[in-house]
Amino acid sequence: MSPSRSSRNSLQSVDLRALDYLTSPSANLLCPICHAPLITPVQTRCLHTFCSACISLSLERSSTCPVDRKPLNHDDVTPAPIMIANLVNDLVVLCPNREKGCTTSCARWLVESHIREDCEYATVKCAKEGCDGMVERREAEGECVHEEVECAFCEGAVRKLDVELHYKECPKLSSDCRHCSKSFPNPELAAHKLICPDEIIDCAASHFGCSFSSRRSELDEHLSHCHFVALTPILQLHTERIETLELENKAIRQKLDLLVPPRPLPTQLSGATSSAANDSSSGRDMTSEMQDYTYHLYSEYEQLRSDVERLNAQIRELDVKQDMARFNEGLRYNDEMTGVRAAINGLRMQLHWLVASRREAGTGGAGAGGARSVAGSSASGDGRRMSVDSVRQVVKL
Amino acid sequence: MFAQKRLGKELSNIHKSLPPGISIASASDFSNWKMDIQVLDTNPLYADQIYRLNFKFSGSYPIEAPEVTFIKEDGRDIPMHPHIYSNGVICLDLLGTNWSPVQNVESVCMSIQSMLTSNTKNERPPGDDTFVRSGYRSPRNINFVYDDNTV
Ligand SMILES: [Zn+2]
Ligand SMILES: [Zn+2]
Ligand SMILES: [Zn+2]
Ligand SMILES: [Zn+2]
Ligand SMILES: [Zn+2]
Ligand SMILES: [Zn+2]
Ligand SMILES: [Zn+2]
Repeated sequence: MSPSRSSRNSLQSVDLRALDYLTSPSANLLCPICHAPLITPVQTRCLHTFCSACISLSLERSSTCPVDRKPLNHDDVTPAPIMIANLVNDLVVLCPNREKGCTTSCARWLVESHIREDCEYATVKCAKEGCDGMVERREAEGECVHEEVECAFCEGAVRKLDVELHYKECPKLSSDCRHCSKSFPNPELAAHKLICPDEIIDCAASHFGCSFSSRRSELDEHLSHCHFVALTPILQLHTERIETLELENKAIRQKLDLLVPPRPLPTQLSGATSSAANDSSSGRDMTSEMQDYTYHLYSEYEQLRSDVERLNAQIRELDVKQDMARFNEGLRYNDEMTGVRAAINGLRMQLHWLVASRREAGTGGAGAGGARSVAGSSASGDGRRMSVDSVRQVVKL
Repeated sequence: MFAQKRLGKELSNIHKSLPPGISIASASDFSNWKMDIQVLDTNPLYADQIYRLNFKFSGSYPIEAPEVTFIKEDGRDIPMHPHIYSNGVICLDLLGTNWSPVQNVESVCMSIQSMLTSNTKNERPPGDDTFVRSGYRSPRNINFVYDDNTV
């Protein structure tokens, strides 16, 4: 390696989270949040291990341990034992430039220095004095690819790096049409694309519902008998008329909203209206007065309506909150009940087992007690109570 | 990036194996997956039915819970359940206040599966009509309307 190369460090950053591992690591070394091998492992007070970044993110959302839901704060999180950190740092990872061609794999803690100093595919600054471009390290020793060169065909100036791209649009060269794969000079390609006979296009009446599509050269045949196309002028006319009517309708509705009072006017006013009809001279005044009154009522009505709406929303929100609280409480009780039920079941089984084993022991020693049980039922009753008592003692133990 | 990496891992696990009654219907990107679930015992409410769950992931998954709803698609229906609205919104605290980033698509499917398995009531949540009419689609933005705690 030449000295000039090693002195040129790559500034490419390494995202440890994005690394791929040579072999899939033990499940014990995976962070429960990101499911990837731990990065900067930390431990919680409840002894769970996470990536430092993952648990921080999680704590921002909720102050509980993601695994056991115990209360947890940033202060309860400390670096994990050094052994865990060593285990994950020693895992073998593939070079992040793998897709560009690097086949290196190394321990995770070495990957950053590999990129910085060795990787042939890491981007470094161009070797040429004064050039700010970036190249892969393996090409850094070659000539600068950032200076402009002359295109051999059109004589335009192109960066060396972009020559390949330029050939696709160089006016002196030809490219293939995507649809018919015929070759056209680049400047004519755009025009050809509009008439290419092989492009698949939709029927001209597709926006009215025709789902037909075919090669452009065959579409004429369809157009000549497509019912949608035949109807297009009429449908077009209808669409336009509907649009105008909708606009008109909207305008009229606005006017109506302003003019028509939302509820009947008070009676004294309607009385005034009829008297105004008799007296045509004061009629004009009365009408304008009435209009003012209507406007006033209407604005008041609007205000009230928005008030009611707001209150409604508030009530709904409160309702929902309360119900949610109740629901959660219920869930918790449910959980507890299941726990208690399970515990009782466990105890019951234990008891059964004990009674059974006791009974077995009892039949084993029945030779001695046999005579007594024949003697009287009270004695056998005693015997039974005895056995239950002794079972109780065993349970206590 | 975070979400994609994690979902990529989950997807490769899902393709390897899934618990019985759970299968993947589609996952073509990292923002929207569809899962099919089925109740395995003989619960008459759900016998021989397959239901489809729609998972929507934000960029901060798994720190943020995914949005999970039942959808009508390919002839799948919305299962009858006192915690599932007829528009597919599911009331499950695991998907809201009780979300934890250690949960994953598989565990969510299993929770919902067992929520169906243990249900005996052939009914919708109270206030289903109003809720569905009010047009809420996202379970995240609402707190749920619940009166019964039996499931
Ligand atoms: Zn914990
Ligand atoms: Zn992590
Ligand atoms: Zn490399
Ligand atoms: Zn250069
Ligand atoms: Zn050129
Ligand atoms: Zn063509
Ligand atoms: Zn047509």
